[in-house]
Amino acid sequence: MKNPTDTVTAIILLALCGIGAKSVNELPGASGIDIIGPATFPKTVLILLTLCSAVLLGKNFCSNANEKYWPEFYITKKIFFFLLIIYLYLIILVWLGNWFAEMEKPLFHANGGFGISTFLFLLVALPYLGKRRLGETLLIASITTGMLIGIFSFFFQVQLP
Amino acid sequence: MEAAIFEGVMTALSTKCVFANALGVFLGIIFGAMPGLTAAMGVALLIPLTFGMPAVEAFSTLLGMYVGAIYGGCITAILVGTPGTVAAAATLLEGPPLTAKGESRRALEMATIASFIGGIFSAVALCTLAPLLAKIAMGFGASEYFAVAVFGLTIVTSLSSKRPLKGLISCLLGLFIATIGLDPITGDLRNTFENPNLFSGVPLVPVLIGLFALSQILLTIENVIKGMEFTEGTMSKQRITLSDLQKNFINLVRSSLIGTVIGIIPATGVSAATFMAYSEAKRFSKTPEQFGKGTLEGIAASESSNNAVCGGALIPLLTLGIPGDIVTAIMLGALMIQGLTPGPLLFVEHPVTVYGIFAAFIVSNILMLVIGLITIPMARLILHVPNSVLMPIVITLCVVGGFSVNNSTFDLLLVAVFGTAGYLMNKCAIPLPPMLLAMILAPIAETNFRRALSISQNDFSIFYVNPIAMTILVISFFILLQPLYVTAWRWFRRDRTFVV
Repeated sequence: MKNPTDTVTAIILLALCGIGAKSVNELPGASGIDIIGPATFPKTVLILLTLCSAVLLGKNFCSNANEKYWPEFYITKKIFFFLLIIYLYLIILVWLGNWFAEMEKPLFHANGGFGISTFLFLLVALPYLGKRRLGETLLIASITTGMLIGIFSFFFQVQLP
Repeated sequence: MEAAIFEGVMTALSTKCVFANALGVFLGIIFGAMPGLTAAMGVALLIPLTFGMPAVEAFSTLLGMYVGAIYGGCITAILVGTPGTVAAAATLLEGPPLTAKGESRRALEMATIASFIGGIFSAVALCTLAPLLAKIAMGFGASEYFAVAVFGLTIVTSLSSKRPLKGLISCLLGLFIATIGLDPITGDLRNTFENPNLFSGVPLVPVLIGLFALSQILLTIENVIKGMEFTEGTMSKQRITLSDLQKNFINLVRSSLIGTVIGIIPATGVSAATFMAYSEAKRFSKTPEQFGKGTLEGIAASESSNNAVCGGALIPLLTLGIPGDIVTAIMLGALMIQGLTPGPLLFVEHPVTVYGIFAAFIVSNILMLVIGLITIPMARLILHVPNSVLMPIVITLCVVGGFSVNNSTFDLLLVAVFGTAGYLMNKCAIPLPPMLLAMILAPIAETNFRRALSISQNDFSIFYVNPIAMTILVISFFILLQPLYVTAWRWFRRDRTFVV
């Protein structure tokens, strides 16, 4: 095995093909005089994807190339932690959005959830990426949140989450 | 016809459209200049905001962003020595030496004027060639449309020339994702995993934002974590002269022609155009030894060709529905979101919109010249915003963009999932553009294939009896086999490396 990334990629792809095959098998076949039904196209794609994944796996065992795709471990770790912050931001955003939507007071109906979660996200993300001064972080977070709500909600009249 | 042209031009020249265009150009210059922000990211983030606008106004903004971003890449290439976008890679060969000689402003002004000439040259080609090509494509039936969609899909080989197998995998993943939702002919639900949010298919905008904005942000954050900083050069006072422009006139026209032609050929790539124009400029130059040491000829060639690609790439997009590059692939999605189906019928059903788009493209280039020349003295300011501050702010824009088209929180989940997938695919060296291309073209290919078979009563000869469909399919087949020729050629030259 020359490149673990390619091997893992091929295995994940084969697993995805398995899940896809389970779903495609439940589709109805061709009806009437048609020879091609709803299942034909996805089935063909899955067969080709399985073949390509198998070739990737096989090629990786035979090839001499040893390519490096990933950065240093500490960078990867920090990126995945940052991804976690993004997912948390979205969860809080949706939760707060629903909570504010159910509130009686009309003042908080519109953008309360988006405003609070975005402010909190920036308050965490900016220091995480190197902005150490609390005063600056607070200022950037509040100005950005205010501007986003102002521009999108009032100027573009886009509904915020 | 004349009335439609007049109405389209007047729409593009309305205050709202010109303002939207100027905003797009201004934002585009910022997106192009800042390393880490790309033209594709800018267009993907703007689509949700333009969703509610009339078509010409929406495309004024998007084209402004496209033209501005392709031009903006030269600012970083000249002042910092890092290309803001791939389009400015060849500018990098001449920009930093000119800055070191104290001629940065002269170089930036030449880049701005060259970008304008390239853009206008390609706009003329767009206005003259596109209606002709559309007229030819007017006689297309289901089999020809299927062939055109297949031709578009074979582009994956050139979008992933270094790793065709991974390009194919990316394309197949996109094809499978495109099957989620209602069957286009029978209306059966396919691969929805009983999730009601997927009944109408995977929405395009969250996928675009996830793949081309969020994943790109994560890649840029890698550099932020590494602590990579840019040292920009100083802005000189020496300005461009009329004689500089006169000396480069033929060079500018030749490079614009190269850019336009390469733009028309789908997915050949803007960097190929710039390097080809650069090498031709060197070949025809009276002082080829100056190339690489800081010459305006190199800047003129590179910048006029990269902006000429923009207009060229719009020709196959509007006439055949085949995107010329990744930004036009995203614009194809924007057209569909606006309820417009790209292809020859667009010229018949929506002539005002088409001619409005042509006029908006010309306006974008004029605004790029004006805004570019005004902002040159302030160009360094753009580079002063650190990525550590900018990237979290762009993430919040992704969230707003992902939500705003359907007002669905499920779309926010899709942005995050496709952003993560895009980042992981980048790390596994699986290219992203083939996936997007497949997601857009799969419904066209499948629907027309099944429709053609229905018309011919399941007779497959419909695909090879028809000369146009047959020719396009044969060309597609040869393009698909391109990696095999490369392997065979390398083998022949005893450089025994597999490209697969």
